[in-house]
Amino acid sequence: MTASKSQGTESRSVNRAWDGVRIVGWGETPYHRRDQRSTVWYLADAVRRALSNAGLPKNAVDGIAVTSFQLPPDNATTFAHHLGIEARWVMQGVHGGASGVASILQATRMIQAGDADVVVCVAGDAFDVEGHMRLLGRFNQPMRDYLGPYPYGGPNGLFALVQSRHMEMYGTKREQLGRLAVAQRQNAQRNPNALLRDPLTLDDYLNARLIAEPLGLYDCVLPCAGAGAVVLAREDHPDIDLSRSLRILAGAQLHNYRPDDVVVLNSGFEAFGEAIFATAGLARDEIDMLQLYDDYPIMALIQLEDLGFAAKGEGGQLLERVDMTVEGDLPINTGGGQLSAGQCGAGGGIIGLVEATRQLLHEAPGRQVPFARTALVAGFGMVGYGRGLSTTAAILGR
Amino acid sequence: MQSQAATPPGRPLPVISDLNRPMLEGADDKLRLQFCPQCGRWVFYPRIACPSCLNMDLKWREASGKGHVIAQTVVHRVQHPALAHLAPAAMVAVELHEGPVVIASMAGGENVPGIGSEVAVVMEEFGPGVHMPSFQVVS
Repeated sequence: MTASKSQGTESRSVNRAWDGVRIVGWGETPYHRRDQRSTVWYLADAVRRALSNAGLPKNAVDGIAVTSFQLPPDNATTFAHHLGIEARWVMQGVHGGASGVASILQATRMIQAGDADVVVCVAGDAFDVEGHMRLLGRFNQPMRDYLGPYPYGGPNGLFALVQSRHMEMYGTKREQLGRLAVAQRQNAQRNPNALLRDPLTLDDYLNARLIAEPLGLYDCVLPCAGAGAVVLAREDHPDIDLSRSLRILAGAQLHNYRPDDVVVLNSGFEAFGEAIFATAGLARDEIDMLQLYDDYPIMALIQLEDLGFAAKGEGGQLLERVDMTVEGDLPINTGGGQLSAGQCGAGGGIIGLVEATRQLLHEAPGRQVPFARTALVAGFGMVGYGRGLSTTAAILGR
Repeated sequence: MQSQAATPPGRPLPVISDLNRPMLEGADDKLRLQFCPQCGRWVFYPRIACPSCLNMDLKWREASGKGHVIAQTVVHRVQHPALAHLAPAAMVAVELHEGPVVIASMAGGENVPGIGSEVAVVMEEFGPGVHMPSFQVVS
């Protein structure tokens, strides 16, 4: 964080690849431990709240991107029909936790090309622990056929394999990873919508019951019900307020990075990390907060390494020396993230985007990052055979 | 080898098809994997097309079944109720000598070998006529 933040991001000398489009609103439903309503209810409520926040009527919307594991047999087009939205562009996210960022990046291209004016990107599910387990049995064919017959533990077991390898290869310690879980819990205590707000100490983290060694209870997310949404609009749309809007400064997505890798410590972020900072014209220390994909602390750590905030293998040391809370020197997952707010299915892929949007619009009362101007949002999703397949990231600025 | 887990009711089993039958129906302790005669690579999990050259005529070959552990865990919370009796369950990711990485159980138990350990495949019967690879330490 530097003095340049007070100047905003308009004077940057950069590539204008993402210009012409603004993020103009956000919406988030209540998070519930048990689904009290249907998946479509949560998705619709997030859309309604986001349009209200943007100050745009439903009839302004002509594009929609929807991501939800439980939407079938419905789909993005029938969901748009359900809401009475006549759309020139419809997308269904198939990238799990990477879908939120993928949605805004693809929506931006459609708006830039003139094929949509106002796009709502929404993601969420009416989930609970049992629903999450049921989903595993039909998530994709290689998981169903070549992992499902084993007592592999679902994603917890797969990411335990990743963490075991990172600990062995680089000496990463649970004490280091626990600092992220504890900091996010502190952030969650300032977010009334977070489901896990009880105090959490490093001892609590280290002594929690083991789920899949070396993962303990506080390495794992709580499946829940909820949804989030953001609204994008053409920059010259007559009904938006430019003074209350965000720019996408850079973005990238990469799927199936190094296709032969299984149980890997390197992710697609290392392939595009340098490029997105160059496109944004920002150094890493000019990013005011990170909204990382935190299905597990080890995966957030791998994102920090691959995005260049720490050298490979040194992410654990970074977690030891930075303060990741809202007022810290490197705020991470300022609403508590999935680890403490909850993982509402595919909505885990948009929680960071909604949080970054709120923070940069200075609409995060009780947990506002002071003078926030820039944020990086990362998505990591679609677990296949032994790894997450999809990586996305965007840098946003006000 | 008979499984420690001979077919509890409702145990999830792979969907057997022409795509994976040679691997899953063998009753011996041989690991059969796909091999691409066009580009010379081994393939796991079973694919319709070679992920290197898109050759759609992959052949089945007997692999060594040997490799080394690259990652390991002991699972305490199993994902499926029909497998709950197997917890705590040792799972390993093994890089085979032929190249592919296979994720599977350690045969018969919760003892998990360290990363770097040499292991070999044993085929375990998961259901009637359905055999899947597990590993045991090479002594």
